[in-house]
Amino acid sequence: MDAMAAGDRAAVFVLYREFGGMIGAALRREIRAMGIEFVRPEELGDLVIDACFELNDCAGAWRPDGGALPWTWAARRLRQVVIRHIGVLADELDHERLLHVSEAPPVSGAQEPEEVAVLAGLAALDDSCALLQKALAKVASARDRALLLELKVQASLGDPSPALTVANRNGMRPDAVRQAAKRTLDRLRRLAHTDEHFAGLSCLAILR
Amino acid sequence: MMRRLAPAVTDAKRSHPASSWQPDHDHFRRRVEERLRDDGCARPEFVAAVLEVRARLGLDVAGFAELLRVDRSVVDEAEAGCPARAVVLALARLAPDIDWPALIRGPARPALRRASDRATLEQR
Repeated sequence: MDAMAAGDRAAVFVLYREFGGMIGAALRREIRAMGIEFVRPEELGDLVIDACFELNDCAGAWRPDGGALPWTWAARRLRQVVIRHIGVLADELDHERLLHVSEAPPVSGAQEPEEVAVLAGLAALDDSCALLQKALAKVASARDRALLLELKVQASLGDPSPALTVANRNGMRPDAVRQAAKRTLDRLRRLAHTDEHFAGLSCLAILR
Repeated sequence: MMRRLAPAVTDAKRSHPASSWQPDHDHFRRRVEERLRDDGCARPEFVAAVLEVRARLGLDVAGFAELLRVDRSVVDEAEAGCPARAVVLALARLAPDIDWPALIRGPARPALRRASDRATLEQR
């Protein structure tokens, strides 16, 4: 790295020959972190070369007393190399599902729909949501269902005291909200364990 | 009698994520040539070959010049794409596997020293 920083253009050959394997391993980690399990050796070879040039270009900023290997220190740059090579990752659009969504009635922006109504809408599109809706109807009262969903939505929005917010909105005490939500969750968990039809509930984030 | 592995099996082993990485020196040199060409180097193939030989020997410019028995400035010029006859002959003795005369055959590309020069060439 010192030689590269000093402008010795032969040093990048040494970096490639001596440390290409380690750089390749670092690149594989970055590729795996992006959700790609396999990369062809030819592609990896090109990436290692790109990474060597990238390290060559930033060699002057690396300090050996920092304690990190150059390719660890330059992990973000290596990630950029991978991103430049692979491009933006995206899942394929599910046209069938999109069709259902576009046919659904538009949601008014002026007032957010109740959580129970949202779940009902999602249940028509998603099997997990349908299962949750069915299970909630089986184990909880309408009030407890609404409280649980409201509480979870508030928590997911980053509210530091979701129970307090929900309690104020419903004219209740926070303890009572927490208790009602706990009761409903316990029942849902029990249902997931005892009824095979509802076993899929245990995978849902709402029960964790 | 031992059977030779089918090419597909060999290829699969080579492609396996756990297989060890092997450097492709020719490919790397070609990529260095591209970079040198983009930087406006007059003789990218020659310069890349010189740098590769020096790297293979693990020498800095001074040590390489000493080995070639030429002045350091001669090596500097060679690595800038302006090789003197003496350095080409010395390189041919040092690394006879490379066809050095072929790498310097033909007129050198004009070295681009200023951004305006590069812009002019790109316009052409």
